[in-house]
Amino acid sequence: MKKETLMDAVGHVDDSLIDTAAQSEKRSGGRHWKRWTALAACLALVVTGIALFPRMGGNSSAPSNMEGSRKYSYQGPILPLTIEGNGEGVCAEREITLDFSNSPSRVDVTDCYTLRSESEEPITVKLCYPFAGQLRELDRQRPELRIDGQAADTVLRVAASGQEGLERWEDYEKLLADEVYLTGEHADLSDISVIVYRFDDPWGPEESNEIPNPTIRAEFTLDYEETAVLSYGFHGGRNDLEAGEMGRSFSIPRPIEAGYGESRYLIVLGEDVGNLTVKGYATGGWTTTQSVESGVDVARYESDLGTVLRDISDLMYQAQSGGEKEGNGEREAWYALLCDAIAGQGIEPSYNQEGMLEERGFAYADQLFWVETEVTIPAGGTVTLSFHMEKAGGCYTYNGGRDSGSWTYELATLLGSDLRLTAQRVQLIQGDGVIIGAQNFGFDPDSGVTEVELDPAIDRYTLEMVAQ
Amino acid sequence: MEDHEIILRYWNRDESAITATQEKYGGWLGTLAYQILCDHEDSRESVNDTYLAAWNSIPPHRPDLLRAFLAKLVRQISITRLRRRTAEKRGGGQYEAALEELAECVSGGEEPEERVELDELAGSIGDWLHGQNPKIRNLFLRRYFYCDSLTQAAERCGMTVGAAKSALHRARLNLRAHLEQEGYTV
Repeated sequence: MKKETLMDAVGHVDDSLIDTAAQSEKRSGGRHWKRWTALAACLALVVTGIALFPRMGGNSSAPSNMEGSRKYSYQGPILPLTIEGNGEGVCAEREITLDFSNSPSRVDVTDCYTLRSESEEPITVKLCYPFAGQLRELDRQRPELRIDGQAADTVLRVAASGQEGLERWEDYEKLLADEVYLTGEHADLSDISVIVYRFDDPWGPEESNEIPNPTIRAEFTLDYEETAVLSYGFHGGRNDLEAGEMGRSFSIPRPIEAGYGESRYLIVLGEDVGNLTVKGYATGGWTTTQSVESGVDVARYESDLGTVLRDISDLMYQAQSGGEKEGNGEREAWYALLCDAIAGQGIEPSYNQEGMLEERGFAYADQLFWVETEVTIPAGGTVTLSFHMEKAGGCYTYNGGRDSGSWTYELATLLGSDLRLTAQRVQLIQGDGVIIGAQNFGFDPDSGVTEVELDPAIDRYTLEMVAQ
Repeated sequence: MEDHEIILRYWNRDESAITATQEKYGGWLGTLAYQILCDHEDSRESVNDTYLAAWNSIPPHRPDLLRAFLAKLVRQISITRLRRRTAEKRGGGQYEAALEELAECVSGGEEPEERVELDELAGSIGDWLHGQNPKIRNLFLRRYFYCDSLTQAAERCGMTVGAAKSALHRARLNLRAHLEQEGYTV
């Protein structure tokens, strides 16, 4: 019998077994992320050299969640615009439209501010519009700005990614309370020296029946106690702790494949690795001995972790954006969050498969972003800023899948804002097949009440939408 | 939305069944596909193929456990995609590692006339699994059905990696003996 046959047959065992095994699963979203959040801030330790590999030997895994779990997936509140400085001489009226025409599970938000100058001089102000999101989802989540009806550019920024997740209203309250987040400070890894092996322009034979997957293997020796190896662009790995050997490999990409023409990196922290050999093989399996004619340029250089992560985060961002180079702050956000992730999660022992940088969960983790813009308000006049975005509703999940037909949305009236808001109104567009569950807005569509005035004394409004 | 409502929509040929499936299980299916394929783009495509396969097979099927039904589909589709992507592409994926471990249960040869009936073999493996203690049963399926890494599988079953590794080793030898006893030429 072939092993593949056995593997296929395992895929046909009865559903009750499969379902029960699914219940021993934890929530899938942000799994990598959560696993390391229990760590102390490792950055300081790394920088001072007290402990290069804080995870080694210790058991830092979060406690496992054995049972199938019903869990709330929080998406963060809709937050108010804020102004840099004390906002003197400027006030604003806010009008929000929540449009559920497309689905109860996501809302089209238009958050509109009419800024009024009370000064006799034109005032130029910097404004920040915060929103909750994830790097990978920015395409959908990033608010679009219109100033007096005209599309306007914004610059994206992101708050430092802390040890705690953003899972509740209180987490946002804490993060927004002191406006420290607006400084946009992130982990600086430029003090950490590294040795970089950069692999460029790999070549090899065409794929064929005899050579199903031409692969470049880099193999070397190291002291697992003294060295950690991070990688980017390598898909395969072999670690032999007893022999003090390590291997990393990648398939030689064809011109049409992802990763073609991209540099690949091995980043060595601590003592350098030794006896590096680079050779091509017929397959990606580590037991394969059939070598093939192939080659790759390997450059070895000394650098610092910050610099090399900059190169790598650029590749990650370009892969995500389809070649876009800057993205009005998005490129910078990838770099900042990659550095935060490495600093917060710690530099793991090299034998851990999460030495692969692309496996880090930071691109899927909840973050607080904001978009910045600057406007000049004429003396005694007004300027209208309208932010438009799509926002997913919070919902219960069961083992990673949605567990209910209702979604909850939260709206903050004043949280984190220095803008003097003289009035706030919300309009609801309900959509077919959607009804309102719990709420404290005061909507009553049956009686025609779809527009309400918000009370600034209430900092948190909640609206539950239910699929009929 | 409850699973039975989603299934009803499939039966009524209501395309919102697919949206409902996506909303409830999309992320989870994506994770399962990624465990096998190690590639985000391929995983997305596998999940899309899974929706289509579900649409094409319900009806006639009326799965009692929609989640397990979808898990089987996405697993098979991802494995097929992986094999098509040429053998052993991107070594290091969990599928390949799990497959290598299973090689311990079998000789690797297969004569054409020996071609095994998959469902029959699956039934036999199912019988064997029912005879294992629940922890080992789940560990085995986490590793060889869901293609979890050893660390993930161990964590989910509340074991250390070392304990999980040796439990799986024993389980494989035990399965081999069971299959031999059932008359299979392993």
